[in-house]
Amino acid sequence: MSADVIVVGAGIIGSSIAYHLARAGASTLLVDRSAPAAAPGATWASAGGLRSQGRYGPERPISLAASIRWQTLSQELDANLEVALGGHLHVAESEAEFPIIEERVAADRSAGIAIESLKADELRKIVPGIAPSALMGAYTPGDGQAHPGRTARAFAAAAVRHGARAIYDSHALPLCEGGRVTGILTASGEKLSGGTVVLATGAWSIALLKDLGIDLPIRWRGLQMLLSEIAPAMLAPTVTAVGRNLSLKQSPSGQLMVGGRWFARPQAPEPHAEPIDAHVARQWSSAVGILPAMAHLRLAQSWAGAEAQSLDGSPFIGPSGLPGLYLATGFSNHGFQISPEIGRLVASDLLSGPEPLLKAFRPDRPLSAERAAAFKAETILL
Amino acid sequence: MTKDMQRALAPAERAVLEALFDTMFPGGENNPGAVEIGAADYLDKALANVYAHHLIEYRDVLAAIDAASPDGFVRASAETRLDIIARFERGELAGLPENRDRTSFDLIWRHLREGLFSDPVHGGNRDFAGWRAVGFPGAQFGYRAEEQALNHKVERAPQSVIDLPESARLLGTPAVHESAGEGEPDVLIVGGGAVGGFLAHKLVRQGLNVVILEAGPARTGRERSMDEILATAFRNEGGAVKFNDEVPTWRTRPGERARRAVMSQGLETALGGNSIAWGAVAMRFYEEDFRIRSATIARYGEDRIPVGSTMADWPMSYDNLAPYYDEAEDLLGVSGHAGNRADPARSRGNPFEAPRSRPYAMPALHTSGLGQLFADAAKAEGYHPFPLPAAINTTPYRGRHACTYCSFCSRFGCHVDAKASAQNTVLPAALETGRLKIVTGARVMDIVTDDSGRAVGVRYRTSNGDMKFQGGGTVVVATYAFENTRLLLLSKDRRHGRGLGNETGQVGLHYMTRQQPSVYAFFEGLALNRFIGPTAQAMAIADLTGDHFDHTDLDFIRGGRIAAFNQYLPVEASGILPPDVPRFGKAWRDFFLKSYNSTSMLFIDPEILPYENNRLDLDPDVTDSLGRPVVRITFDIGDNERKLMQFLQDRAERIAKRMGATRTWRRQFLTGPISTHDVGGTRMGHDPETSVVDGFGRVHDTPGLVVLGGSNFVSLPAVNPALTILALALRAGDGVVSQGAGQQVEAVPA
Ligand SMILES: Cc1cc2nc3c(=O)[nH]c(=O)nc-3n(C[C@H](O)[C@H](O)[C@H](O)COP(=O)(O)OP(=O)(O)OC[C@H]3O[C@@H](n4cnc5c(N)ncnc54)[C@H](O)[C@@H]3O)c2cc1C
Ligand SMILES: Cc1cc2nc3c(=O)[nH]c(=O)nc-3n(C[C@H](O)[C@H](O)[C@H](O)COP(=O)(O)OP(=O)(O)OC[C@H]3O[C@@H](n4cnc5c(N)ncnc54)[C@H](O)[C@@H]3O)c2cc1C
Ligand code: SF4
Repeated sequence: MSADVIVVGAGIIGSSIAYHLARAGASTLLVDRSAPAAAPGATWASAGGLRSQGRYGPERPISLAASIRWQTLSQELDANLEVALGGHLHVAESEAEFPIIEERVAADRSAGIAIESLKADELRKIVPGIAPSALMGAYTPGDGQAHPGRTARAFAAAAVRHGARAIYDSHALPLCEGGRVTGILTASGEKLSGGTVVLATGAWSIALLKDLGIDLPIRWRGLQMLLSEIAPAMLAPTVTAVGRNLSLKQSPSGQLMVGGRWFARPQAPEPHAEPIDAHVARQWSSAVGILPAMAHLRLAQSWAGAEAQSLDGSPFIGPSGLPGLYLATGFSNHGFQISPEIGRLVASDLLSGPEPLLKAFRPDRPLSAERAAAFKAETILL
Repeated sequence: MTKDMQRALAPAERAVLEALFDTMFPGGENNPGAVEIGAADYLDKALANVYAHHLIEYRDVLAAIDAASPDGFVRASAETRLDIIARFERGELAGLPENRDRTSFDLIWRHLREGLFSDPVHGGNRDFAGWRAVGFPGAQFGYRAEEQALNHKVERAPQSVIDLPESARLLGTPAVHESAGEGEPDVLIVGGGAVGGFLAHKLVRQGLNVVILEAGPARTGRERSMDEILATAFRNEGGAVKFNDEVPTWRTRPGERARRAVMSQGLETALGGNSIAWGAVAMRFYEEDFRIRSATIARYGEDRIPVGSTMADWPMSYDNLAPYYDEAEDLLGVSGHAGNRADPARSRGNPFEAPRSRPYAMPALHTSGLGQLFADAAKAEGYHPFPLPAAINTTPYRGRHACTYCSFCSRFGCHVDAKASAQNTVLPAALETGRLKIVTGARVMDIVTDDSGRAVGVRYRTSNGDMKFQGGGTVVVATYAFENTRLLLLSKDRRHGRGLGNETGQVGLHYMTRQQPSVYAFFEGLALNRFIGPTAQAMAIADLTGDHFDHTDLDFIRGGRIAAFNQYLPVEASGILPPDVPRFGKAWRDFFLKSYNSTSMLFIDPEILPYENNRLDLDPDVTDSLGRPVVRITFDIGDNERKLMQFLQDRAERIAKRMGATRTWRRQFLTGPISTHDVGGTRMGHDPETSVVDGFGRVHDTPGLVVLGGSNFVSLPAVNPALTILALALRAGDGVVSQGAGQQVEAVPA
């Protein structure tokens, strides 16, 4: 068996790439060690926030295009993706934080993103129960949320409908022959050759890259999430706050979902992590601080997923330096929103030549070696 | 993919069906009729697909009905139609098909209810009209506690299962294998159900290599959650293919001809077994249950043992089992309140419960409005109500989600993994060791012994019909009471001419199955909202259990449990009627529309004693599709149980009246085997003359063979069996290990 492109990893990134490749007519093979969006990958764990505001410069056009795709992605993929576009709100809780909001609004506006700056009373029209401490906010009405697992499965299924083949429950090892990657070796020992192998293996990339001798400033971390019991409808937008490590939303089930960059405890077999109780408590109280009604709710579930993070917070997308191997990893906890466009751009990069919008994300961009070492070694405070 | 055909019936047949359905469930002021609700569309589509095997029967029935009136059924007056249906129900119409096990009316009535009240994905219940008529919100992710208050008006738009959000983050299907590969495992487990999973987990963590052979497919258990008819009781699809092909037959006494048992709940025969479908009431036995015979004799004298009863003590004491109860509870995650034995009046939990070394891992499920109503009434009657302990999370537990009180619980897989199953508790960790291999689609046909009579492996049939051999150092059979017995009886060798374990003719004896002679209670005008909350969210009393009350002046021994459960789904509920309400017409419709949200059931679990006549053997007449005899159940309750049930029903009725029930009615005492609490058949004991296995499940007459599950039970206390089944399996895990290492473990006498 062979394919033009073998996509390793069926998280949201690999699934989207495979879909766009297959749709463009490329012979495509999608392989996952378990299944699309399986635990404990980032897509499985992801909060599913669709936030276009406050993005890093080169990501803005991609994010903007993605936010338009999300409006019709359920129809495009013919699946219920639980898309709910209730907006995104970034909140300031002191006057000192106002300039941060203002700068964000200005920068995003200039990139064409529909973003507004809201005063205290306007905030309360959107979230009546928001804490008195919320004084000002940046609001992107077109943002919202979707279900990452459902989306990855829908991309993968649509890829297959467009002629891609999928192999699940089998890990893939890039096959290196004569200084280039020529295909993969599956769990059953089968060799499959491919013109290009795309590594979309999230947190698993770290070990794979090491084995291939590719040195990138990338590490994996477990990030933890919380879900409350079911509450009456009280929060339409997704919410973040300048001064808090927090992301907050109300899921279609009525449950409040709390994220942020809260690290979980690494666990064998790597990459794998379990929530840290002390972090659960702080993460929860951070949410209660913004939405006081949550104080009466109980916790229903906590989980942690493994995410690949790059030194500068931007993904590595492009040729790896090793011929035949293409990277799409290191999405550093904001890869979900942009995933539909990442898939499209990577497909076009592979099939029609260099894609200018991906230039800033090339793996060979200069990054400090010293900081890389410290970044990789940074301990997780418990 | 080919589109499902929408119709099987010819237009004339369809017209008769519509007239029939609209007469059985007519439109009224507050409800559309059956046809408008979509019941005829539902059935016509089903007959073209999943119910194609019923098509001929339908054709005959519709023809018989049509022929019963000179102008045809469709043109007959409403009165004539009702009369024809009544004769149809009584089996009096000419040309009705003959069925051995049920009437055609039973079948059509069930299908009509499905068309009215099942999820619209199946083609009926159009625009939720059936659900709207009774106020059922359908497949909801969950409910808030206040929605369970009495008379709370639940304001939720009905929702289909396809629109359920997936907010929880859950594990996928356990990784399984096509074959066990090279080499022999230390332990070969037949049956990947509750026992198989928990035992495997224990063994691999001790360093042993284990293979599980599971007849059914792999699954998460969530595949058919929140779809009332795809769950076991109605269509029994997917999870129960094997069992549906081998449903035991039943008769009440030797000499009778046995008929297909109407298993009220069905049995799951796929990975996880009934740890997926169970209601998860996770309760320990009482101390005295382990010495039921000697304690009865000591207190009341030998002559109080009922005539014909084979009551015996267990080959272990509660204290022997207590650490394994702890272990099982820890793995499952059990919510509950520990009982206060010292001060029953102030006990939040069961004041009669056996001593526990630690509290429950999580607080009990919260008390529903109905539960509180029951508790208050029970207290006023002098009892000590308590919430049943359940293997259902009420807080996050080891990564699993807390219960959302969705109510598609018993008979369903849990949509958020709050209810413990093998796959959401032990299997991931067991598989992670790399020492467990699970082979699915591996249906074990018999156990293979060597020349010395020692069990060395099994023969199994793969899903594509190949026969294979799988060896193992120790062979453990854990396939539920019926199949455990059947496999022993079907496995013969030179030394075991009557089947393995059966040298002394004990296999199949002492079979017991729970009867649930509930008292139904209707509370006119009171909304109970029992369509919220799991079955296990129940308040119960144990004051009348076992020997917790004095039997000196009573004419029976032992007792039972009375409880008010939640979970009330409309396809099932529409079939629950007092004796004076007919199964069709305005009377049925009006009763059901009015009673659906106001009917409760005081669930009675009486203790069932073993009797010498009650047993399992192989049916001489009925086989499964592979031509192998199915299990034949011979079972009746004794006079002791009849008197006990009468007593319990009287007490339950008093509680119901005090709760404010405006009418009550009783279920009959004997309803047949129920498929959830079936025990006995491979009784445990020290003496090979009167038992099949020892206290560790080791078969007396067959070295290397272990049998585990409810079949080993000696008696059937008024407590759900699974926690004790798991505790026994975990204890046996120690025995199997020692046996593997060549040591002999002494079964500890009581
Ligand atoms: C807790 C959390 C919350 C987040 N919240 C948001 C958010 O609100 N908004 C947002 O935009 N982003 C969010 N993110 C980020 C976003 O979810 C991730 O960037 C994105 O899911 C990354 O997807 P991926 O496909 O790169 O990785 P993964 O989803 O981890 O997928 C990698 C896949 O590769 C497979 N694989 C690995 N090794 C092999 C191998 N050798 N052979 C075959 N298959 C292999 C794995 O099984 C896995 O399925 C969040 C991330 C986390 C962890
Ligand atoms: C609807 C329902 C509700 C219940 N509620 C409760 C409750 O609330 N509390 C409680 O304590 N108990 C309850 N039970 C009972 C409980 O589920 C069982 O006691 C428990 O599952 C028994 O475990 P087991 O491993 O012996 O059998 P099972 O869990 O039934 O597992 C047997 C396994 O063996 C497999 N198998 C069968 N034959 C073969 C063969 N020939 N070859 C290979 N594999 C085979 C089956 O496919 C199955 O996976 C309930 C049961 C049901 C059906
Ligand atoms: S435990 Fe039962 S009631 Fe609770 S969420 Fe699961 S299936 Fe629903």
